[in-house]
Amino acid sequence: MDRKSFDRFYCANFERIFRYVRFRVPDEPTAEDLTSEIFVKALAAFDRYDEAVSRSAWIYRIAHNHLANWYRGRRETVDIDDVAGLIKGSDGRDLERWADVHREAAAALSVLDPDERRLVTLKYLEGYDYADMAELLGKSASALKMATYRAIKKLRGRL
Amino acid sequence: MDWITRVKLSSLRRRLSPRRAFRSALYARLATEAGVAPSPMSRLRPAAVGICSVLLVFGAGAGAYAYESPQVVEGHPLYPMKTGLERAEAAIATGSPERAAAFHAKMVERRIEEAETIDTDVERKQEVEEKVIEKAADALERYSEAASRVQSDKPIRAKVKPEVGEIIKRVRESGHSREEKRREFKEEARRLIKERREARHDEREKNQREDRH
Repeated sequence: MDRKSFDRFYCANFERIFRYVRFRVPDEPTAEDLTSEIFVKALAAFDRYDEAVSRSAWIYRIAHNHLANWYRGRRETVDIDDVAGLIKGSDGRDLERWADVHREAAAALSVLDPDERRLVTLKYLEGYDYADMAELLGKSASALKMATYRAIKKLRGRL
Repeated sequence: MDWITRVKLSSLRRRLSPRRAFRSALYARLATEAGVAPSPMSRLRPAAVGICSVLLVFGAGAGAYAYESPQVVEGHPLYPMKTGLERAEAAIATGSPERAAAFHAKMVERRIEEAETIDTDVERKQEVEEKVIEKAADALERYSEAASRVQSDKPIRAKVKPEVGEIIKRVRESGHSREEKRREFKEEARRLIKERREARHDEREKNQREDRH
């Protein structure tokens, strides 16, 4: 592995993956631990990464699976994508520990259906562009742009 | 007005952003594991704000005061400067697990001193104190992560005050879950802060009595 491809991979994905995790776990230290583990895992399998085939989907899938395993380890059953920002512990207490940022976003995003919520979190909270979103979701960038626009309209006045 | 929604979402996004020190520490760790030489600029970039602060302000003394004084906590005008300087130090300390652990142990000690000396005039004293203790617990977690990569952390703990070193040791070796360790640490830190405040109060009263005689 050369430094340039490693740097490019890290710079392109680090913040997005951290935000993806941060928005789905209760605190920053946990998000940092999980992000570290995700990148260590990705690094171990870096030979299978092909930037030309998938710029973001590969690490995104690793992050998704790792987070699902983490929740499984805590004996909590959640759908990681559908409940971004709404996740709480099975006893409901975890939500109390969440920072205001989560509560505020969760309250606003609750008016959207799961697909719309996913578009808004990918685009505006995690920072993906429409080309990357098209790769992640298997839809055309123009269709996603239109759907995101409609979702933003629904959020008007709620944030 | 959809642009307002977009601006607010961008603001939420900024608040979900990772710490610069974490970004550079993880980069250094992955680069080492991957066997690639880390880019020298990558370590300096996150520290740039702090380093500029060092260059510009240290000469005037304000930087030194902000960095050293336990009275500079959230709400203090010099607090952003202090956090910038600490971020710079954290970025520089990622070179080895020993240095990283020593830095985080120092941060645990410093946060405890800050919580102990929070001025009674500071508004929302209780709230600020709790935040500082939370940050001390974060520093302890980072210490534990770095210390797990060194053979023995005893010489590192010896660099902080013995009572702080003892708390770090007890909590680290308790064998409990991460959440329980955090809770234990916060309880121990509060107890230490209370003891130190009482000792200071007794000392002050003793001095006043002696002055009167």
